[in-house]
Amino acid sequence: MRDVTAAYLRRDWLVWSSYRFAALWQVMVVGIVVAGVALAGNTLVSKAADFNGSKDFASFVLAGLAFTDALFAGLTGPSRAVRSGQTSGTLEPILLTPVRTWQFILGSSAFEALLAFVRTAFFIFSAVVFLGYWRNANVPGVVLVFTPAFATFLGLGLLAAAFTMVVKQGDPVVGGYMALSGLLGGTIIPVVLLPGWVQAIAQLLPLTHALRGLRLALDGAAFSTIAGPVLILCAMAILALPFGLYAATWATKRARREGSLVVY
Amino acid sequence: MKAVDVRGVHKSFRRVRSLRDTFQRSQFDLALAGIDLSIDEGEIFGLLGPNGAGKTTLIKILCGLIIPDQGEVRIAGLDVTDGAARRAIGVVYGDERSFHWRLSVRENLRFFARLYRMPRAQADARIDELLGLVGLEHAADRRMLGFSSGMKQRASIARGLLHDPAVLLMDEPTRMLDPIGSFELHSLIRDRIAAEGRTVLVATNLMAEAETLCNRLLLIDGGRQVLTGTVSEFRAALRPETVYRFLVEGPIDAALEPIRAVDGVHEARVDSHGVDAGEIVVTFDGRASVLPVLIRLLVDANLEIVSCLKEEVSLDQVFRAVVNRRPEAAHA
Repeated sequence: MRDVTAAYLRRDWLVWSSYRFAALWQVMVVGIVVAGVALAGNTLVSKAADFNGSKDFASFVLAGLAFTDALFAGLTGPSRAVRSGQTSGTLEPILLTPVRTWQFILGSSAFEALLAFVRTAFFIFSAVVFLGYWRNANVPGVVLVFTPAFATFLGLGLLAAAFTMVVKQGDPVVGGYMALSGLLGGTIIPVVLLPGWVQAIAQLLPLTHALRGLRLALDGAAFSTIAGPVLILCAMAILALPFGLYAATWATKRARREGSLVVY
Repeated sequence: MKAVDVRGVHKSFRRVRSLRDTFQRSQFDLALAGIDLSIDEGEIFGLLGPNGAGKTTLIKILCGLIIPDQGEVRIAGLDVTDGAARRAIGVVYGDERSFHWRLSVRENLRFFARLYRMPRAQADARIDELLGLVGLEHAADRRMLGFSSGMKQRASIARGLLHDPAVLLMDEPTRMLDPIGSFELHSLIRDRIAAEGRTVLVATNLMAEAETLCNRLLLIDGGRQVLTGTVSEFRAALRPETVYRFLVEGPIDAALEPIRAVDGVHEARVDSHGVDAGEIVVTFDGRASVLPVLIRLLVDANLEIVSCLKEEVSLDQVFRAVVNRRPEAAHA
């Protein structure tokens, strides 16, 4: 698997870096977002609201955006990999090799995920250095929350890839889930400010628990404090990942049966 | 052991429904019906058929990209649904769209070599060898964006051969090529690729290509197996008689009656008639050895034989004859 992932990473790095403007623009966006959130956030500081562990609105939003970006890379990467393989016509030649379907999907998603991790790390690092946030972060705690959270999103991403393989367009997992999570998951709007029944729905979303745990860990919370979100995320990952893998394999088999691997 | 062994393959595809037909029962289009195929090691085999005959579907079934509804496919003795069979199969696409165009051909081949788990040094040596074979060494490090159709086709051949497969499947390999490119590709297939003992299956709707390259052929039409055999067996299937054209000088008419009387001759006629020369067309039973008798009769009739040509049925004629027998062609 390591060799295959390395092959995909190299391929996707070469493709990404060949679009020079897009590559530079993505780097610039990171700086713009950090500066923008710091400026806007400091004017919106509110001592009254509970920001799920964060001390002010700027750090709340910055952590939300940074980790949502990384986690959504796991959600969108697999279906984007399938779609790209369909439209570029490379899906069939790749599936002719001894590589398994899940290896292709995960390998093809690896670069996007890595890029998102780097962006997130840069957001967080910049905030620590320039804005003075999270100087006492529980870094192992961040990793502990992030790992099952990303596995959960990857499981959902594999499910989305299965939809893309079978129905080609209109995948409800990415579209529906991203819209729901973006609004209710606590990226920008604190969950505690939502109406009670909406908060109940928000508790079903892995993003809610992931962001709560990550913000707590960034603010230096002890392992015992983040144990709740970690356990919930582990349970979600145990359900989502095998189900996603099964769905992706099943969908590829179905596409082979229907002769629609490269139909898009 | 057969290089390719196909037994009773059937395939139908569900017809794509419009929004209005969402709740209607699914309809299916027959793609292949009862295909049997057996190809020996080292053979260059032609898969012929008009557009929509089922050639690409069969190729995709042979390489495991499509699962048949019924039937069994073995490549180099391995069931094609078994992952191990993938190492025995190389595929060359006629479609240009199967590479990462923003990468060089070398980087593309390196990527696929790693998916085949080839060690880096071995892969690099193999890539150099193949780029030389297909004549792309000068463009090895150029992005494929700027490649011509012919260059992309050559790159596709290099990729198909990358892992040294026992069987190479080529789907309309000259579709995008000009006549010179096609000629060069034919030479490459015959003199280099097949000469290494590799089995090659070429799907094409170009009869001349099949005639130039292939030892044996399978003609499919509407998903059904129509004919299998050598080029001469194909010709015999369409026209069992043999036809000779004699260009002669002298009194032609006098020679016709004795020729018509020869046992096995079906027809003898004058095709074109000049003052002292003309062309006699003789049709006779292909199994009878009447040619020496005919020549003797022409000489005895004081005719000078300027030329003697056997009229071959071209594969194009066979192809047209078969396609014209289709029910929809009859209604056209």
